[in-house]
Amino acid sequence: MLGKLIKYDFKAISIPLLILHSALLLFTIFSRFFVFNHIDYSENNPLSLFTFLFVLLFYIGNIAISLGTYVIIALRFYKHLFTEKGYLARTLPVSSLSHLLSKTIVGIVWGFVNTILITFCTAFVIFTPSFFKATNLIGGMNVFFQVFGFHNSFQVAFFLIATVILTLLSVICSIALIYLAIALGSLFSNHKILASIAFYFVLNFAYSMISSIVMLPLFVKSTSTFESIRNLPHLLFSTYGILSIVIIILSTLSYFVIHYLMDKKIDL
Amino acid sequence: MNKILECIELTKKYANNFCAINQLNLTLYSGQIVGLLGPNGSGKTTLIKMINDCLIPTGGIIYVNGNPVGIHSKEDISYLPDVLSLDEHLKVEELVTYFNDFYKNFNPVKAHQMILDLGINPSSRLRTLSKGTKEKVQLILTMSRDAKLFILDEPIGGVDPASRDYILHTILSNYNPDATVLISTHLIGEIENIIDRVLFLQNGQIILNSTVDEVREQHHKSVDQLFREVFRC
Repeated sequence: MLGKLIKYDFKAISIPLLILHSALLLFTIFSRFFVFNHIDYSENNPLSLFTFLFVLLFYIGNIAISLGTYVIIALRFYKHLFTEKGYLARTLPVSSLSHLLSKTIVGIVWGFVNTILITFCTAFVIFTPSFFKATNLIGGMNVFFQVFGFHNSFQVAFFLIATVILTLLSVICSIALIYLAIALGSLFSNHKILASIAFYFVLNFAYSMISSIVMLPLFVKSTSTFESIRNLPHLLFSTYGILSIVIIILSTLSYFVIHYLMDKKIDL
Repeated sequence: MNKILECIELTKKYANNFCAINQLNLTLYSGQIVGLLGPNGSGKTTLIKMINDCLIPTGGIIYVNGNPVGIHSKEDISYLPDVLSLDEHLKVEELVTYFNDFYKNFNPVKAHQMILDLGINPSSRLRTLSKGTKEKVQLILTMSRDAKLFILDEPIGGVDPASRDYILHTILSNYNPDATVLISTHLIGEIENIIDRVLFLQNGQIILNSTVDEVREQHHKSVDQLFREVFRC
């Protein structure tokens, strides 16, 4: 049954999300070849007003597409389970856990696709031949890694893989936060959407505060001496490790609460 | 006859202390068409939603065919809500596939035939159809299941008389005689001739639970007349 739920959840949101991300790709290609390729990154050539505004538009467009992605994911969760459409969904012979898992899996997949695509598009427009020529990026990065303690390419590769894993965990946590906000907002008899938005900002703030408080001792210890700053791999891996644990704990707790609310508390 | 529905001390109280269902006890047996009647606000939809796991009871318990409300009870119940609950971006034929995917006792051939009989193009998206036609599609999907308990919440409210006749005909000709049909409505005159048993619900409690024949013999009135007398404003 879970497979069938996932099939229909993907079907419900994939077309609008494919359209959004196709538009992002087309806009990226247009931007690269008609604007960013013509930017001269050498010192004495400031950006023209048009170029500056276009870069701003590109940045805002990326944010809008990312926001749109998560809004579509959130709307599917809300409409399918907590509005009139819930009369069909909640009377299917499947558990509330299956519903939650299905929407979580679909949300995570599209959230991850969105993150990867935006990262790729941003890199694609920035890293033009002119940029590489002006900044000597690759040479600079080699020096950076050597100065800050990366001794071999294995460590660099591990750092990149760890970054991808942390990104995935962040997407999982973002989805959990959205769904928890919606579940809490649905406890109200009126103004559910407004309540959900309010809960989103409160939870977002709370999650950020918890992460910051947990990370603070490590940050203080790791930046207390010049030598400790130079051992960037150790700092990064410690940071990533602790942040991952915090995200896993917060996400797990969130999903437990969401499931409890769906099963025991939320009325249609 | 076996027990198909059992509600024991069922209660639903809301946050403002309003008690929509108040320690209700009810047992229904298989093979009956039961009319759940009551004025607006009497608790009919609240009771139906609790049976279908759309509302969480404050107290009491519900058994459907011996199972508490959950996955197994939902396999045995075919529910027609009083609102349109289908995904309107799907095509009619995709909705048939959807029901066939999730319900083991769904008969897609029967559903397709009824859809074609109504002249509905199965390739149409639900959102392109009229309100009445959407409701008929929802009814067809509900009645195409070989369920043990059919629960129809206001199936004939808000439609024209010809559509009412079609809906009642569809209900009667498509349900298994061993199954139970629970119809909630306030249009008693329309369903009096098809129901076997009648339940009057007032202020969240059942004040009458009799067969239609018993009502006529004991009160010397039709169910419609008795309803008007009991629930006189």
